[in-house]
Amino acid sequence: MKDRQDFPDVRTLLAVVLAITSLAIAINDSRWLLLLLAITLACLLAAGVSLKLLLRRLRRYRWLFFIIALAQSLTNGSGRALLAWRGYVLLSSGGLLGAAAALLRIAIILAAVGLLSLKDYQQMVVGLTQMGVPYEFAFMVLLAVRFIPVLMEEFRDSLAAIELRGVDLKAIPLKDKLRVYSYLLMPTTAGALIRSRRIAVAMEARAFRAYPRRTWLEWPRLIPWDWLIIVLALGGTAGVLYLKIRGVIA
Amino acid sequence: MTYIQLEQVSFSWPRGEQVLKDINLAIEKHDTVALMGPNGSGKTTLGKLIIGLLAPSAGRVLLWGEDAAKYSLAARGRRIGYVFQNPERQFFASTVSEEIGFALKLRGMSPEEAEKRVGEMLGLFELEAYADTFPFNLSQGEKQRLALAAVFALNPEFIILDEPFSGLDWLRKQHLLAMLARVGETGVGYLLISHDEEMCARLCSRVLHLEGGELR
Repeated sequence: MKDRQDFPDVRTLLAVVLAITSLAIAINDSRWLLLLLAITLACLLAAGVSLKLLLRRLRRYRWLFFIIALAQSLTNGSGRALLAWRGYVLLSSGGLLGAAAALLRIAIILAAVGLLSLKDYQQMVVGLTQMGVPYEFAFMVLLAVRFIPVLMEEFRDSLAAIELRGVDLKAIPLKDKLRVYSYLLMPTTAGALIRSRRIAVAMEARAFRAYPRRTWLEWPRLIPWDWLIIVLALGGTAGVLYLKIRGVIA
Repeated sequence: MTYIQLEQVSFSWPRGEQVLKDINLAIEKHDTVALMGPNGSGKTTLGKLIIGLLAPSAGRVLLWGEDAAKYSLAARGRRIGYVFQNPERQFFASTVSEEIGFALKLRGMSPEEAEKRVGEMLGLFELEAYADTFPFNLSQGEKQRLALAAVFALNPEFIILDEPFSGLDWLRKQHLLAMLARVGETGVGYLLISHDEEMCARLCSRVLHLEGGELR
């Protein structure tokens, strides 16, 4: 087993992501959320994560952003009414602020998760195991997470395959469209099942869990900078949460 | 009017890795063309650029004399068939018959006509015995034949086949060779993406070599 230093360590990144996402959920004030977003982006830049790639990822969720913002502005009628219809407030200043906070919150969470892209799958498993998560559990969770983009790609491929057979999904009636989408679940599910079976066989062939203990090729060690960041992230979060409980920040 | 034309086409992945560089190519409707090259030379990328699964970073793809960007995937698919490198990727039905007939019905063919066409394809591609089989349970050779049958059922003018011989033994290759020869006899042109020199030479009238992202 190689004793290795690899800054920032997975545990450091997980602590930072945990701190940022906890704060994003706890804080409601848009100004504080804006500050948190700025800190998150600064962390990403410092870690060398491409903001271009992050923007591309955020763009994929634009519809989710829009729906959440719309739901917030329609359901939150507090503050000054900006648009009303027959006495029902459609848009209010409180609704707009709520929508802004919701959008900032999602952007912060998605950006923070981008920090984890610095580590590969194997490093994540080791990191989680070092934190006390049972190896099998860490392995299973990350295996499942790794498959999400694969499944999405398969879904897109199947959609493209249908269109390549000359079926214009925009032009066909709703009934047929629903039929097509229900069909798409089939290859995606079948593909996932087939792949899971193959992976299970491959893992057993490599003696997964055959022995009570396993040997690690590398066992990263925390350096003082890691400790400093972990303490700052967790301490800062505890401080902000304390201020929130005391009502200093919303 | 050239059926498929590529003008100074280049393609790079978003992270900057260049796959194709200044490709100029013209393919006529009834041409039987082979595109050969080592792994990673950009063969599949070129096929995907023609069919519209990818967009060029520079240059233009022209289909039927016009900029291909104006055609949707469905519009391209109505005239050009595309058989994926991994045939599983194009299956979405629960039986072989349904896989062949699915798009026919959605494209407005009557159930009787569609059934007749499915029967013809099952016969032509020797899949009668598997009509009610789940496509994912077929062997690699049978999957290749089903992928071909599903595309061929739609009467394409031209077919792009991505590595149809991969994973097949000699006997299965001969089998598929005979099938493709039959397709060629019907007047349907094709672009065969492969690194099987023997098959390309036997099936195609023109062989293109792609190396390091450039046509040689």
